[in-house]
Amino acid sequence: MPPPELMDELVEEILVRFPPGDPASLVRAALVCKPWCRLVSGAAFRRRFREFHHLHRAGGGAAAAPPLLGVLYNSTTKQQQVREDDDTDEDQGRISKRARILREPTTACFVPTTSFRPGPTAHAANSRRCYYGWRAIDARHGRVLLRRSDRSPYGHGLSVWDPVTDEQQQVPKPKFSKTMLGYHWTAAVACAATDDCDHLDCHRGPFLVVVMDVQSYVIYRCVYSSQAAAWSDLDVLKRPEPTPGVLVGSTLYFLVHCKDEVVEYDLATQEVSTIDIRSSEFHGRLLQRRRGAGLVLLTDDDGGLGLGFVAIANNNNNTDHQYQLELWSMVNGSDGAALINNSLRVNGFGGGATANSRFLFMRTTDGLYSIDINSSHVSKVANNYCGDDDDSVVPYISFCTPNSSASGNTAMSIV
Amino acid sequence: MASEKKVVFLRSSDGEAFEVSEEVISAASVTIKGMIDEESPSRADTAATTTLAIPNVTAATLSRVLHYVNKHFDAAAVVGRPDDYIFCAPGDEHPLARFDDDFVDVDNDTLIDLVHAAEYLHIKKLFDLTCKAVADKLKGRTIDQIRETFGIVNDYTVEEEVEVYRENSWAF
Repeated sequence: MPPPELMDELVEEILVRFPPGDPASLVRAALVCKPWCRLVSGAAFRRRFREFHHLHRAGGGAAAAPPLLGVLYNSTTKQQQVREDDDTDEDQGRISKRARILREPTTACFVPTTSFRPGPTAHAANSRRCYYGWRAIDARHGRVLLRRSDRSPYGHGLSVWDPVTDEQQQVPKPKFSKTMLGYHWTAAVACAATDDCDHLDCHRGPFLVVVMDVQSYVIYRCVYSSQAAAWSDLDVLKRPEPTPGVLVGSTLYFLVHCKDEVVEYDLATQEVSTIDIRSSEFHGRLLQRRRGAGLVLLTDDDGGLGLGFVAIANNNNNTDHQYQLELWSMVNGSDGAALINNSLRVNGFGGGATANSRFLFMRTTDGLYSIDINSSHVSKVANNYCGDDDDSVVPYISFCTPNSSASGNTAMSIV
Repeated sequence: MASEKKVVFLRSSDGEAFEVSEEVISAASVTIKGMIDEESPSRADTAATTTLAIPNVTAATLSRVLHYVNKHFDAAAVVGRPDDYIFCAPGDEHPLARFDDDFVDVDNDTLIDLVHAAEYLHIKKLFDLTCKAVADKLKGRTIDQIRETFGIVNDYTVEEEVEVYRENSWAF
């Protein structure tokens, strides 16, 4: 008996249901025959695929999308070699000791968590992409913001890399000098289309880089536009009084370390405001934070904001080794947003947390784990993790379908 | 007392008739609801039951479809539950999730017949379920296996194929 024939219009219905977390499966489908290839590399399919999986994210769960395609982690080069070598404990001890002494510049490494590999011609086995002397500081809307690491001999600078298209754009030197900004300046990258973009497929579009330095009395702000290929002048803003805050879309959030404050920058209105997060209940738990563990921001594409940290478990008086992951989310109320505790009661975590997305990362003695705060889904990212501090992991979340990586001369243009 | 529940008969392509509650099948299938609505003026006061011809669906497939429809559209268990439980988190057990898993755990031909039937009868939930099941089956297969499954002829030339593999080596 011949195999059943599939009506053409049903092929699309089936392929659109392929998992976004396994981009290789769609590439293989494209190579079945030319009609399938034309279908999945077409703009209409790309659009539908993203919308289909984005829509079903509302139901939460395992199908949540866009997927975490990988993470960027920052480590010093010598420590990196420890990861690559399969050494005995004795050897590792020796090499990491040397790494501490050398203090090499940071290397930002892309480590895939799915079948995705950056660049169309990358080999499956060649999974890592490393940027020596760079540090990944943010990723949003499919783009990664890299910064020359402090110890780099090449001076400081910024660069935006899109792993899906594998295109990199140098951001020219800002007009301010390093000394004008303090030690704690931070930066974020975002799609420049704030009103009419769902950020599901804006890979080659214009972007913004927002640099923010929050000091005791003022906030320095500077914005780079890829469209204008220029930096704005450095704005010196009087630091706004902390307010309860109201959550809106198209907002970038910056956590001000040591000050228990969140600074928000509205991309559409360009307004800067600060949110006081010192509600009494939250603060009480924050004081129970594990020593050395960071407080991290959790944000999602819909403007939701949360905070997470590892704290000593509430109900455990016997030992100080029992920790739990505290998750707090901002909920809009009548008089502004308030922090609501919706902790995942995951006991026994011993590591720090790092995030700025719906994924939270936990360092444990067993390796690096990611937690999707929407679905509570936990998975292992790397076996042994050598990041050097709490903000060392930057999640890369994006859709990737055939041709979104094609730069015109790849196989997908054969058909 | 006459039954309050109206029934209709569906006649498969190979001539077998199946009885199903009118209310249930109308809720499930947009196509059959349309057929019933078209028929209804002529049978308003007659006691005769309607028989609808479903020329595109065989008896074997139709009986499976009706099994699904009766489970999904006539069960108190589903009332008030979200429809898109297919996308529920693992562990978030829906009463019908197990039934659905078993329902699509069939051979390829049967599954493709179900996709076609769901499409023709316009039963959205069944269509989603069966398409997802086909996608799940395909995603782990090699290119050759997919071609074999659907009898697709490889229309790439050898040179194109080599190029394609080279340019997309990460996916293999």
